[in-house]
Amino acid sequence: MDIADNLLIGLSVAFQPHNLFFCFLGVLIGTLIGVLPGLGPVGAMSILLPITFGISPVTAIIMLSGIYYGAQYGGSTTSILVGIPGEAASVVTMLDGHQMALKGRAGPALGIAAFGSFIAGTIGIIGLMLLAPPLAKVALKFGPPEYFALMIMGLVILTYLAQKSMVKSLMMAGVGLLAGMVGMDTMTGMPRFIFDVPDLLDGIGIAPLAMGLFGVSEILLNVERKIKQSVVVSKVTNLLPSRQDWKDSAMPIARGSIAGFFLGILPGGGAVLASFISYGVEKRVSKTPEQFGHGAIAGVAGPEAANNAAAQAAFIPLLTLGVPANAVMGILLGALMIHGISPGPMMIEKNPELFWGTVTSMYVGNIMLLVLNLPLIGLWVKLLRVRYAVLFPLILFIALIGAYVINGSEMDLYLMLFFGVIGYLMRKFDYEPAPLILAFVLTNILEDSLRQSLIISGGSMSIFVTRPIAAGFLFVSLVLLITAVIPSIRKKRSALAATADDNA
Amino acid sequence: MNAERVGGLFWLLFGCAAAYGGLDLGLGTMEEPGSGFLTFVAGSFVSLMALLIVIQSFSGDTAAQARVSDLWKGVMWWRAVAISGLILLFIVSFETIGFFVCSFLLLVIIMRWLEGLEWKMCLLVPTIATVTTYLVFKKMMNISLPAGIFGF
Repeated sequence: MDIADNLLIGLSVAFQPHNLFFCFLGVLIGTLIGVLPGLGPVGAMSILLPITFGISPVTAIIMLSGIYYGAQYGGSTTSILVGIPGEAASVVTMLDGHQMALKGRAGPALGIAAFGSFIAGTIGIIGLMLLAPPLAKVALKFGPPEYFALMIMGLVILTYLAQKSMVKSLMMAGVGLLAGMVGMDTMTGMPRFIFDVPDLLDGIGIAPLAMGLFGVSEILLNVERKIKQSVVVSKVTNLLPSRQDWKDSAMPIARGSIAGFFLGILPGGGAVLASFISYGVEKRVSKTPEQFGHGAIAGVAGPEAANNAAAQAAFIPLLTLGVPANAVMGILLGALMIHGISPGPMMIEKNPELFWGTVTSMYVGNIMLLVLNLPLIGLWVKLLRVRYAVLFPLILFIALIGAYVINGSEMDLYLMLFFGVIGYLMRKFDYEPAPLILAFVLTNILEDSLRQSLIISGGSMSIFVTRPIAAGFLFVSLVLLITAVIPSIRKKRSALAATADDNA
Repeated sequence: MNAERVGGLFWLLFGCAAAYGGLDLGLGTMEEPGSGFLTFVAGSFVSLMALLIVIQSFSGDTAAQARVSDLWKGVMWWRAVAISGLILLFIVSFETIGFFVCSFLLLVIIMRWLEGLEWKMCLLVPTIATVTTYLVFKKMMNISLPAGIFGF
């Protein structure tokens, strides 16, 4: 089957009324959580995971994907109008976008952010369509050693790109693996770390863990301080960028889309990194770098394009290899598994409706987002005036009910609270939760592929270095670990982390 | 006390406990790894990283490093404690008292007592939230929510 046939399959799925509805719901919720500071896409997706249990897997993934890429759009609105990043990938957009708003150019800033996101999102989807099927064919050659090495590389890249200490991030990945081992060992049937609690035999659920680490902990941190939401404009006008704005933004959008796409594919990469790199590149190639930080439209267009292209590209490793590139994809993997679908090289062959339906729904979702973010901008401006004191109790309430209804078990609520407090303390002590959740999701596949590899090789670890693909992945991991301790690179990483902190 | 050191020591203890747990579960052989194999490896790895953090906390400008008390300086930490306590109370009473009463009380207490919002808002928002949630989960998705002693 060629791409045209596959597109037709996808369109027939995406245009089913209930899929259109859930796609709209997803991008609407995504925009909403992107606009509202205090809850990122990981938290929101984990909170809404139980809602997807009653619908088909393809509809569930269409909705959850919509939340993810919708949040990338919505985040820019808050960054530009309020000067607070709606979510992490919009931190850079805030630097010039908010300055533009202060100078009375909120409209063009929002306009170019939305158009740039749309163009990049479309490029990302085309790349996903073209790259995923051949990559899945290559992945068919992967055996357990290759999978094990790939997952190690993913975890190393994620920790390498961590904004805080790499040692801490590596440690969090280790903690995530240990959390993933709670419950019955799937190979031997032996219970591990269940402390005589029968509810733990099935392991810790992804939903209470993610809701606790990302949702509850964020609320606990936010209630400690007063969140001020001062919108700089009451009415946004002139959303269409001028000819000069387009001229200044065309190349940044093109560069941001391409860089974002390739950074998004990397396991461990993603939208946040893509936006930072795009901003750095644009500032470097600009003839007027001094304007950056003072309202340069290229500083909005490039990063916004990059984070949206990366958001689409992040689906590639998940849908072709079954390896989530970041924490959001980890939640999606969890959702697919709950629905009895194991993403991987065979998924495109076995479930073409799911793959192509999801991809084509992204086209539809991107168009919906353009409508939601431009003509309806007034609605989001009004929403930004809703007090956090009203919002956070509702978010907490939905999280609690969401955690309960998955299994109808009080234990999930206790787990959510436990991980909420752990997440709160982790953030206080500067430990990032993303490597933990990614390692947690990967534990089963990682452990199984390690065991299978050792069984195949008769107990010899050399299997990981004698097979070229596995050796290649491990070599990259090793190089990254070595370069991370080289003083000059370490300094650069620290400087980047400091910039991110200052801007956040 | 130095915050980095406290954090490192906590995870060192955690990693050692996990590694011990791995040994207890059984490492198996290289040809056939047991249930405790990866547990032991991951626990040892966590311990090693934690040890590095503890060692690092002794080097560099120790005066510039944050103390544990600094992490809660200038913030209203008691509000985080209060929210955690309220969540715990909610969980303990959820199945006994039931979805409606428990949810409504949780929202009212947070909005009125913790946030000091006006009564009108404190009654209207929780009512809409609980009724909508009930309709979505119970009526639309047919998921059971605890009725509790009041039977609703």
